Amino acid sequence: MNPFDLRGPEFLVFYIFFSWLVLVALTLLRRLSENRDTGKPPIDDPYFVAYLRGGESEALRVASLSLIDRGLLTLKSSGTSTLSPLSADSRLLLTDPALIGTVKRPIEKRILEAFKTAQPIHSTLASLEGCTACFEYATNLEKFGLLPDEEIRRARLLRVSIAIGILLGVALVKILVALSRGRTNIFFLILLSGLAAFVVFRTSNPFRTVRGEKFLEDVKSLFSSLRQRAASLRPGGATSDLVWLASAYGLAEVSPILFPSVMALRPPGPARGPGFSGWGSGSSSCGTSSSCGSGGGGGCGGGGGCGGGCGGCGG
Amino acid sequence: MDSLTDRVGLGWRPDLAAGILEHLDDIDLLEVIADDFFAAPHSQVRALKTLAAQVPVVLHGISLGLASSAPAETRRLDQMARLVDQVRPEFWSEHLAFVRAGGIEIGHLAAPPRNRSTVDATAANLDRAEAAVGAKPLVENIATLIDPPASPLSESEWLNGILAASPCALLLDLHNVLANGFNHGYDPFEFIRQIPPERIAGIHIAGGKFVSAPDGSQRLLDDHLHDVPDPVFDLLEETAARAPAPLTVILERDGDYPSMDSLLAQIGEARRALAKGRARRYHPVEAVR
Repeated sequence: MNPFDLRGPEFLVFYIFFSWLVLVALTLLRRLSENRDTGKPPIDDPYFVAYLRGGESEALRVASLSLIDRGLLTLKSSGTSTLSPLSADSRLLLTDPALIGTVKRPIEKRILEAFKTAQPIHSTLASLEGCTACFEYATNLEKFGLLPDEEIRRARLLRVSIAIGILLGVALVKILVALSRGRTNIFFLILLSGLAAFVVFRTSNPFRTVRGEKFLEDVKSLFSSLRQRAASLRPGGATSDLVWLASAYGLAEVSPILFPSVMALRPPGPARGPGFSGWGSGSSSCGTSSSCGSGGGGGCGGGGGCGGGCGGCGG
Repeated sequence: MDSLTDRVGLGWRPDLAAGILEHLDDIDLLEVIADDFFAAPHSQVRALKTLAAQVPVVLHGISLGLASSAPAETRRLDQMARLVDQVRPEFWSEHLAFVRAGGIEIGHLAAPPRNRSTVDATAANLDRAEAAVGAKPLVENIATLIDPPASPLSESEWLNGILAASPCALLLDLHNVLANGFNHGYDPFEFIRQIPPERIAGIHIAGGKFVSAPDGSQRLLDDHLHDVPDPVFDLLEETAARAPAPLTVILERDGDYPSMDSLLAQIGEARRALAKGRARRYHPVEAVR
């Protein structure tokens, strides 16, 4: 049976099935190629996990939550809202400059330095994206094969290009066959082929690699009891539990009643995970050519979605 | 022997996960309750493998009932064998207890009668376990509030009988020794001296509480809900002074969790006790990390 001889509606059904097959093949190829053993990723750093789950901005927010819970940062209400005193336009302030030297993780140090004076939360955290500490997380996540590196990204791009080429090619052949037979009802096929190409494009470059997905699931499994105990956590009582809860499952799992500060840290607008990481070169967030590490300044490689530049990231 | 090869770890409990993973530098290894994963979905076993890739893991069984005149159940041995094969722990261990009889699950680690018959049956079960899993378990002495009836052998004689009949290593639970010694009127230090020191490979330390018996006397209950008492550290020092092989010490805590700092302090105290014990055997003193 020659599928190009199928009548219009039948060919559309065939094309939907064919697109599904292409999508499955693409997923299988990705699973096969991205599941290589690339060493043992560290499991002792919650911000590493937060970055893997939600990207750079999420790691910064979780680290900020930890610093607030430990009393190193304090929230200053903007005073503009009496209904929600800890709203998104609240500010954070370092409680004591001497405390900067007491933290051991570079990402925490960068955050404390950024809030030496009271600063708005979201714009300040956005300005930290791409800083050296974040860049190290990105580099390590790529090194352990948890986030796509340049090689994986190129392979994904090649596969998706071929897949879209096949999908559009098949549609084009059918269109030409139809036109040659004097039929002009090709609108639905054009629509369908465009939709298929879009779906393939959007689903073929997820934020994490297959190995990264598995590692994150493993971490979540190890902390499953923490999620069940979320309501029993108390401010300042067990920061490790709080931070791992937020890292593995997200800030949404932290009770805003018990931890009001989490309201101010949640990203403005609807919650959205880093499901699609863009096709640019460089790391998944701030590019490998980022100049942030050596003294700030703008410019993030070619990475997809690098927030507000790298101002103030310093060495 | 190099005292630096002694290790001190903690029993893995999901409630302690955050604290444990944040302090892996201070914890040499983790002991995981194997039975929790016998019927677990693949994703949970994979998570355990991820954990085992980060830090040495040993598996601890609680339901095989090896010290029983009934053969250990093939199904449970197979479950243990599968888990050992998947996780590849450094070793696995099980209690010298029976947990079921006549088709009834006791739901508790019970001390069998200490006689020649149970010694032989236990040795046979250990052979079955080795055949199924590929390695004999470390066997652990249990705590018991009652002296089992029909027991012509003392606890140490019975334990030594099993060790003589089966070439397995001993996981010596020091709080169990302390509790049994208190409850049944023997000297725990003397008990340790009666055990062949070269067979001791693992140590459990834990805490318990005193409870009143119906006759008004006091009993020491091994509940794992309290901090390790000083006498257990003294017993650890004594064991370290006698045992020639490197020791793996596990702090067990099953609930009423204190802060991680408190658990780490007890791990530190265990290291100091080990160092003191080793120093009594060897000079100059080598610090245990």
